[in-house]
Amino acid sequence: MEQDIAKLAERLRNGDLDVLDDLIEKYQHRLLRYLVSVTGNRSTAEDIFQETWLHVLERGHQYRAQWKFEVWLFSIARHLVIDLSRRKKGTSLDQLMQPDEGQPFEPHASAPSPFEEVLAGEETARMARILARIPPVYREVLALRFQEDLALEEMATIIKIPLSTVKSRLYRGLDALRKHIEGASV
Amino acid sequence: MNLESHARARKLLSIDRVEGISAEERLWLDAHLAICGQCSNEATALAVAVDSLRSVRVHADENVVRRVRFAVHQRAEKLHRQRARTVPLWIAVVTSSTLAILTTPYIWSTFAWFGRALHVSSIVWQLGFLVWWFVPATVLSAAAALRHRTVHVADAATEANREWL
Repeated sequence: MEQDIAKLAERLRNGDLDVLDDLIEKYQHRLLRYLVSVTGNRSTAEDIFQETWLHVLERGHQYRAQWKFEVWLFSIARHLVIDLSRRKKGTSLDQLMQPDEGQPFEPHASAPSPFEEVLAGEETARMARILARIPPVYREVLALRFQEDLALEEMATIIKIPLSTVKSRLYRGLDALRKHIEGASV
Repeated sequence: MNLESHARARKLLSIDRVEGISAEERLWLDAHLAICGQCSNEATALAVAVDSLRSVRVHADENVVRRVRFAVHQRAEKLHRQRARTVPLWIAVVTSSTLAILTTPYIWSTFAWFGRALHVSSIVWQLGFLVWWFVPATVLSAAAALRHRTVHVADAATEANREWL
């Protein structure tokens, strides 16, 4: 495993396009899911998705073998979201992360398969409505923890906040999620 | 059962999802949930919330992924071209710097010799030495900068054409 990561780091340093293609293939859904969680908007998420992979290409030499690849990848993606919010004058990160009116939180994609869509589509749409009501800072930690299965320390690295803040956001996020789900089922 | 034990159970339910709880705490929690309907419902609600979150499916559109791959390959090509241009420049810089360091004393002596042979004041041949030293470098730098700008404009035009196509 360690050897694999060391090889990955070396190939990224050399700007190996084959390894980038493999990484895009492997992490495409996870990265997009994280970006949709953070921005709450699929179109913005797709733009940043592309920028993230271009940054991986250009900054591949900065990747170190001791880092978990997805932590580095999500850090880049998050940094680009912040950059975008700075470029949009007068828009704070929280505003950018909030879905605009008329542009609700959109985790839907072109369906993986009609069968899967029938099974999961309805539930995903219901969750999308619920998640849209949860503040983005909580939505982000919930996604990293329960969708990406990252450790608390890894989350702290990505968001660049203390571990204690990660935990408190998770508790509040879980509480908000539970309340909204209960509210939705009443 | 008192209010305190309900509060403890709810707290442990959350902690279990975030940080995990000890075996001893789990034993206590399981025992409490077995006899407390209210807290058991809380546990179910939390489990439903987390499972629902895990059930969210986001799939990257094939066209988006294809577009991203294309953009990455294009950028890689551009970076490769830029590096290819930089390598000869660095070789030239290193070679000329080395030659300059090695030959400066001889050129200085040559100028001094000509100065003495032509009976000109030392300030004149020293100025001549400075011109010899700086003018070619200045001209070459200006030419390199101009060439870089031309290539940059050509690259931008190529990119624009590609996007348009």
